[in-house]
Amino acid sequence: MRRVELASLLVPLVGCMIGEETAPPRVAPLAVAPIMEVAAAAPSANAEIPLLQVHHMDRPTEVIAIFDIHAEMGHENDALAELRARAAAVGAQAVLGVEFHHGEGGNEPTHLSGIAVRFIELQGGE
Amino acid sequence: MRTMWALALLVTTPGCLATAGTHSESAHAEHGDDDDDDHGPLPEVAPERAARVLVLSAEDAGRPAEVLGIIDVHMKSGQQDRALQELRIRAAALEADAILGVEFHHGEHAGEATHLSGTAVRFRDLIHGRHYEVIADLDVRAPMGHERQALHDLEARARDLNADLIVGVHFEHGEGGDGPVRLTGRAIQFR
Repeated sequence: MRRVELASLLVPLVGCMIGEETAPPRVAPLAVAPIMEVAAAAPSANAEIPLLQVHHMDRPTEVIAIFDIHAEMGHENDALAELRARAAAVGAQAVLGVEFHHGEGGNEPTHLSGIAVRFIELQGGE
Repeated sequence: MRTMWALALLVTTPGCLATAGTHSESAHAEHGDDDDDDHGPLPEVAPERAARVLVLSAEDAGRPAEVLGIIDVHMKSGQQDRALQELRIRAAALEADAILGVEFHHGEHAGEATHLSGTAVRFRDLIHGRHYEVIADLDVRAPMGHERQALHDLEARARDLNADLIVGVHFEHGEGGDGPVRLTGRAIQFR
């Protein structure tokens, strides 16, 4: 299965921070502009959920769900919209470690996966 | 400290742990390969106990944490909910308070297993404000599925250096379906 850089899918996300693995972005500046097609079809709060390639953030994030969405080739934006919708449905505030895998051949589905997280406050000390 | 040999793995700057009893769990129940890896049967744990395990994507819990083991659950694509539950169960069986640095990796090829991994820890301070010096940076690798071996190798190297603890332990899941896993940390001695 050929792996395709997710960044190419997220080009329309003007203002979205796609962080490097070594320098995860802080959460505060993350204001994700809606994907054009998604925003037109379903302009809802879930369009604000950042989908990030980085696996870790520099603030406490609790894992609440794992998503692995399969979609027909050519429907990548539908998969992105579904990922956001599922994340919103479980109360996630971000999806981390987002990976896109292109199906091999002409018929295999594409895969879009990630970890849904919510931001939490941790007690310090023992 | 050395006579008692409580080698500790420090996950984050404020935390650490004793590795004498660390474990690694690598579960491949859904694809039946890797017969010679660290895979063990799923332990029996009360659901309420498993539910109490905090699952964090960050490697730093913001408080001292003692590493208890590395957990890597392999499942068929589409069984990610089950994988997350198994991650909690295996951590709970280690009496962990949390799993840190949780990562999900989708298989590269069709039919390849997914990987959900993390470091099981309990919140505990093994340094207690003591001064120490770093005596070596440690870096070990092992085949995927052999996280326990990697952990033991890390401990062995620290032991050879007469270290008291290993701090700043970091686990890297291998790339693809069979890339080697990597464990790094810093061997320290208390002054």
